[in-house]
Amino acid sequence: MVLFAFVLWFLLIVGCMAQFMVVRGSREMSAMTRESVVYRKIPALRGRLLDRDGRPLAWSVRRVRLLWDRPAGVDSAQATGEEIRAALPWLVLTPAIEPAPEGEMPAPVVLARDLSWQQVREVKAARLRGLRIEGYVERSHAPGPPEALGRLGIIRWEDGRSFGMSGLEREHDALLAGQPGLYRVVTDKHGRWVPETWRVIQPMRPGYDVHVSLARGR
Amino acid sequence: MFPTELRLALRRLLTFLRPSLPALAALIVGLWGCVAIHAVTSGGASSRHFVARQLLWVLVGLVVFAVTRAVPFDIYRRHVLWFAGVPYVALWLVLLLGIRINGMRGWFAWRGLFCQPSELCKPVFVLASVVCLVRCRRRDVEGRPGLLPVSGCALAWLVPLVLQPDFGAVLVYSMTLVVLYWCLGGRLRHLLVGLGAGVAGAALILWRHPYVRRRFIAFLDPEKYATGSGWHMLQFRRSLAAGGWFGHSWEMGSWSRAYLPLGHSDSVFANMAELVGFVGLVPFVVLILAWVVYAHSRARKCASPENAGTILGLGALVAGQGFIHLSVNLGLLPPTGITLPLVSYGGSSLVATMFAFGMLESAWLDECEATGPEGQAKGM
Repeated sequence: MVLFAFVLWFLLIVGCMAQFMVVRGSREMSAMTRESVVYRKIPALRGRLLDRDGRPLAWSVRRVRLLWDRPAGVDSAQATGEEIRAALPWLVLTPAIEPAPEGEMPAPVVLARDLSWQQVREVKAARLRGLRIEGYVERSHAPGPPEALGRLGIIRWEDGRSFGMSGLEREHDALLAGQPGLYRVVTDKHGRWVPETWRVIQPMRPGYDVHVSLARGR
Repeated sequence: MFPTELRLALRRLLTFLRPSLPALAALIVGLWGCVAIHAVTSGGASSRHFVARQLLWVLVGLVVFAVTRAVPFDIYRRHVLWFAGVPYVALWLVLLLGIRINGMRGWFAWRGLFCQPSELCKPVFVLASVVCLVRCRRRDVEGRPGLLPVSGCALAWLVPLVLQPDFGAVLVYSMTLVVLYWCLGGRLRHLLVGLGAGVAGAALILWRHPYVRRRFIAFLDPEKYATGSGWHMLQFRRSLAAGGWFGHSWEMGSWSRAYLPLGHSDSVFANMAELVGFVGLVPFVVLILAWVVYAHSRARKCASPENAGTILGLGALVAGQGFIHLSVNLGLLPPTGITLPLVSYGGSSLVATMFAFGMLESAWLDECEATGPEGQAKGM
């Protein structure tokens, strides 16, 4: 009788496993994808503006920064902050941690910009939850008088793409801009990334370099 | 008397060096558990800590198995008050001195070491219940255990568990007691009375504990309460779905890590499902059933009701706990905190399971020795 009951229980369990893992698997998977997978743009690396001698006047640099998706509770955030401080002593953390608005997740905190590869390695080795490394693109200019910088113009970023707003940046925008890429990543229940799940769907295409008739000052 | 028992114990300890099927199975399952724990904790700073501790407990468990198997079963039987009394007192003391984790006051904590008496009591609960039911049966005119002893056992063991409250353990203890009572010749009408009392107790628990009530309602329709009480059940389903046929680990088995609560303990089966898939899990479920078949076949051969009861009770305890864990993870039972024996993270559970294995083997060896040289050859 006891054995019979256990055999019945076994059959019920195997039946349920088959139902959830095989029969209804695809339905659950599509719900999972809908709720947890996010697609984001990879910013396009804007091409360089070069002077008539081929020296760069404006160029884009890809840098990496360290973001912290801190826990909602102040106490747990402080405890995690202590862990981060201990593991990465070169980081400067702001001493006061503001409480998050009621019912909302706190915004990610930028802990450091322009990390060196050594620092990136240290962050990865520390394997601390809530820390993530994110790439961003910064536009740099050759030193020169303000009017020369005005000739070069300014850009703005929108949805992973740079737009030339004025000057030469605007004039040659079609060549300079490039094509943003696409990646997908799984997020956890708090909307935080699960780093191992990051995948490039479409690689980014950088913009072309453009030679202009200006001369870079010494 | 004592030197004879000591010699017997030493001889049995030496037999541990021979291949022992339960010990080998326990070692394999324990190592599998370490892999599952590593998978769900990797990415966190404490992964090595969890895995190293679990490995240590697997080794300690093997030693516990060897020792408990070596102890003659007669010693367990004669000193049942000591074997059961000390952990039983701990079961009450934890209500006063224990620490509260996840709303349950069920652990003693000392310098980073945690001990859960409700886990450690499981094998001795079987022993004490068998001895009580068999001894009371002898006094009964029809040779059957009466309602009074089984009710006494149930109340004595379940009350401290309800007070903690550890409803997962209540379920395991109740199921084992029902199996024991039935196998020792209990009456169906008494079981029905017990079932009625159980339903009334469950209703009382639902009324007294709002969080249990919420979980139960969410169990009936998890998608309606997807962001609240039904969350855990939905994540069970999704981790299972992520496993598919062959454990095509969806995004490298990350669903359990990102979404599944307590993937290293109470949800370890769903975590394993994501890693190894349906095909990889079926042998494990068969292994649990094989354990009951093993215990059942040995119990049937026993002449002594105490040996038979202990063997079948311990088999049902471990396999029943395993099946309850699986049923919770599959949504057949409402979510409750219950570990998967030998696999879930936790020293108390692992050591108690190995203790149960050892005691079962000891009872079988005792039976074999009682049947003379032929039986000894069979057992050794």
